[in-house]
Amino acid sequence: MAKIGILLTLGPYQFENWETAYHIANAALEMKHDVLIFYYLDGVYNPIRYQKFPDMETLPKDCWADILKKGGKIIACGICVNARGLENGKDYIDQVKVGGLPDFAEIIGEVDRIITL
Amino acid sequence: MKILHILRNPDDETALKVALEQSEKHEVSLLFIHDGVYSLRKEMNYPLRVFFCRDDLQARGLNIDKSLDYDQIVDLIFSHDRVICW
Repeated sequence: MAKIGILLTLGPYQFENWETAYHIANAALEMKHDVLIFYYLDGVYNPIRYQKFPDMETLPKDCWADILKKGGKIIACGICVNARGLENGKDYIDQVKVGGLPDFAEIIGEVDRIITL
Repeated sequence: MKILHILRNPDDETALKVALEQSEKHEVSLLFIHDGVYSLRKEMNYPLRVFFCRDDLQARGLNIDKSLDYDQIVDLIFSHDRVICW
């Protein structure tokens, strides 16, 4: 078992980075690896619980909830969160922690591999 | 050392130059994802191992037999000593 870190810097819908991040995280968890995700910059738009999109059955926030349910850990950059008026992540899905860049530094030190998306 | 470059842009000359330079001393692989999979249409005579993300190929109406699913991509990431995303 190994640990993978994922830095996600882009939001949902406009870019496909979140989908790649989700699929890699999901595959790694299914393979019994540990997954640590850090949302940075517009990546902090990913886990908002009130997302809606016509005809889209599984929304980005549902995918992240699935990752958390499977044991993945997710931290969002607090400065990025508040810079976008997201008020300390009050509308986030459960278990997404709002932290800071020191958390990302910890993740870099902790994981075996890190990918940036 | 085994080095994996993950490329999102099929025309990323800097990434390819770095990868080729590294390949003189290291075992270097390329994984094309997102629009990077369009490099499938280019003639590539690199002394590098080249892989493509299956989902991203299919999303663009492309296909090859030896594309990788996400389980294989996770294995590829852990089987390299260094991973660089461009």
